[in-house]
Amino acid sequence: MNSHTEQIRAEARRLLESGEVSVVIGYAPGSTPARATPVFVRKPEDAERLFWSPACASNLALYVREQAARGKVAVVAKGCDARSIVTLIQEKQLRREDVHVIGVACSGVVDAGRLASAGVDEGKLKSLEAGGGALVADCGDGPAELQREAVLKRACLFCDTPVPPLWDVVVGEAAAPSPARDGVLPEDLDARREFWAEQFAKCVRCYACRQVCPACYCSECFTDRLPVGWVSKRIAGPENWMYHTTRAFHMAGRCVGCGECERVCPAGIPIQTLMRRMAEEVDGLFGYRAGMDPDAEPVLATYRDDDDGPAG
Amino acid sequence: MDRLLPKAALKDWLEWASARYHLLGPVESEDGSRAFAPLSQDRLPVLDNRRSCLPPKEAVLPSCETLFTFDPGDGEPRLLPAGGEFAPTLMLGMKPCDVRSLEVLDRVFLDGRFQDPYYAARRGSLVTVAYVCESKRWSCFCSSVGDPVEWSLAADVALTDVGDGYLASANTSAGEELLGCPAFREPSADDLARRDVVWNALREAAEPFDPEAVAAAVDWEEPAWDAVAEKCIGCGVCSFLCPTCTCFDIQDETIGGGRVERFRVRDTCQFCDFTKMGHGHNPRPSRRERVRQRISHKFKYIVRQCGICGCVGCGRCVELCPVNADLRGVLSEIVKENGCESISA
Amino acid sequence: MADTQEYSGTALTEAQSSSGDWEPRILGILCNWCSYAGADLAGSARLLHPPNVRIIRVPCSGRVDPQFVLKGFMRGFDGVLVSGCHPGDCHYAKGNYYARRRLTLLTRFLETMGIPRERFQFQWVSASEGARWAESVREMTERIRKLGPFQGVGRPVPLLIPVAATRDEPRELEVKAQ
Repeated sequence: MNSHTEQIRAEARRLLESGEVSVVIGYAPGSTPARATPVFVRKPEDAERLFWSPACASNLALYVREQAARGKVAVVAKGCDARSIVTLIQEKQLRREDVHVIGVACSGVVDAGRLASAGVDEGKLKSLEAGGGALVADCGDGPAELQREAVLKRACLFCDTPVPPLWDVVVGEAAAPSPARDGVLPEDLDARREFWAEQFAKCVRCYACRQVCPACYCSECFTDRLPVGWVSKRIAGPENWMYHTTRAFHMAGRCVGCGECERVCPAGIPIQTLMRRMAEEVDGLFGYRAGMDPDAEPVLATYRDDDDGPAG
Repeated sequence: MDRLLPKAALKDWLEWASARYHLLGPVESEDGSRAFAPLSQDRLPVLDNRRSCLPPKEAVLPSCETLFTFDPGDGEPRLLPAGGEFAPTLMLGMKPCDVRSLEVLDRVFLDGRFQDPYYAARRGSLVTVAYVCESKRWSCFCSSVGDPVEWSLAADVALTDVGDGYLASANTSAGEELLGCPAFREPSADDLARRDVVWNALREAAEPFDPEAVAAAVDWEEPAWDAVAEKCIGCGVCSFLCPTCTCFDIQDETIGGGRVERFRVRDTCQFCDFTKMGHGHNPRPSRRERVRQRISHKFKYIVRQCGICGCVGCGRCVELCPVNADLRGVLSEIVKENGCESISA
Repeated sequence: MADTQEYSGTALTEAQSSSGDWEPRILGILCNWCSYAGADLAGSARLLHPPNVRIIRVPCSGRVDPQFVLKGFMRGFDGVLVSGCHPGDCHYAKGNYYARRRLTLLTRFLETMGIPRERFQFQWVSASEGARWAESVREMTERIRKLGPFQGVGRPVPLLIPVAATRDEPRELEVKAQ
């Protein structure tokens, strides 16, 4: 058992024994060593169910809003997850005093769906650990180092916040980030239009991307507004495009780049590429990054007199 | 009828078959994923135990399908049904779970007093060739819900990899016709023995699991529902990618020129508005009710209504669930809760 | 309709093919107090300008949800034009400031989607600027004409089992009841 796991369990036990929180939202081991599943711990003795490994891919901020309505919660949060919590606080969906953040400094989590293409047989995986910046897997033949670029959630390769910007307690240390550049999008505009047309033709409109996103908390999504008809239920190229581009705009200045949308997409659409481009434009235009400062005003809910705009 | 197809002759068989059928099979895309797609000499199928992301139901129950169009004409309105005659299609490389899923879909759409004409037309044009998996993936549990070998024999032809060739077993007259291709030859006793080894291995249950015990144990009040509902995010991955989930919505849309199109499109009981009524009431208001519904339907209600277990153990929901709410674990919990000794048959 | 999951075209493309020659079709979203009045002035002053802009009137440019623009491109418009009051002159005081942020961001985002910024115009036109309105419409129409028709945002999803022959004559749907 690694020291991250020990520290998380100890903190959870302490919080539950003292009654400071009603639930600790964390990770439990999943079906294979490459997977983790969310767990809601309410009794101190159940803190043993919590663990930490590079398989802890989910963004648990997703559950905080609903759970915090019933009382103070604690949540295990990576850098990106904590940024989601900051966004919720900024948007008045959550009060700072209602959440206790057990921050974890993270060097990247594994996307189990990428293992097969990286030559790792998930069925034979005995263990998956991170140590000294390296990912080590044992498929029965002894430990072997995995290539990070091949198995990490793609969003982790672009990460620049390995340490949560908001925490009540933080576990571990992370190396300084060296974010890669997303080279997926073609440079030529026509090629781009073709690229997205091809990608969105794959979309099955399962809405996993929307459901897994902590920032998508509208009780009625624009896609559900059928009488208005922004996007019909039709599963077809143009409608799929409309859904994704509108959602990308709804994420402008709010997406923290956790990459869950892309990880959960069953069709393999590079949604993070879209979201990351939007985040870069927002930063370029307004000097704003989502989820870093709970007291900052949401970027599109405010303006400056000297904002860029049309002439005259 | 058994024949052997040398692996090198697969291309020749496909070319011979392409004169009679439109060919579909599992192809590998750039990102490594699998999908059923039209085959050609440049696009050959990949036959192994990896499952396609989208299940074969896409062919007979497309995710979006026009039912008919209304054309006001010039004072002479007309109703134009969609589709027409479908091209005879050969779907190759269907895993045993894929083949079985068609059986489940047939019970829903073809049995009983009414046949779905859209499904029936596509299904009637389909000839199936199964590929019997050489081994199971970690997430597969086909042999726990049934006999995958028996399932494969419901296809027109079942292929088993026996080393340097595929042992082909024809199970229908259409299948026998397919084996009439000169690329096939008589199998040796060795070939047949190797096939039996593969078949026996496949039949071994990865996890002992009695679907009847599950059907009996699944109950309205279960702590398991709350546990799953707490982490379930309410997306449509499990149901959209499930080979036997059939729910659809029907929408009318104007498409210009005064014309209206009625189409049906995939839907899922996991969406929060699936059972929302016109007056605003929703009998399944929270994820607890919706999770309960799906699992109960899949393992209990459909057994009662159609006499067949709805799940084929393909494992897509297990591998693709965003939060790893492993169905096998949930069923284990339910059976244990209800005091069954174990879940073995 | 036969081999793909979409209907055969948007209303716009069909109307175009019936007329033969392509004319740029531009969606205009104009704020009521400044730009719409400015456009009206261009009309009453008989300032000649092309008819290619289809105008939707909104109370304020701040009402313009980027969704409107995206939907315009999705439905097949060749260009989209949003016009509002000059900064400082908004009838509702601040609406156009929010619009400025949103729509400048949209201009850049459209390029991520492969839509050149020449197809989306965002401008300020006041109620007295009839001539400026007419000039902007002339300029944008010519610009879109040179760019050519917008190629659309989606690609059809082919059905796995193709239709071999379509029935042309309408008939009763056969439903087998037993």
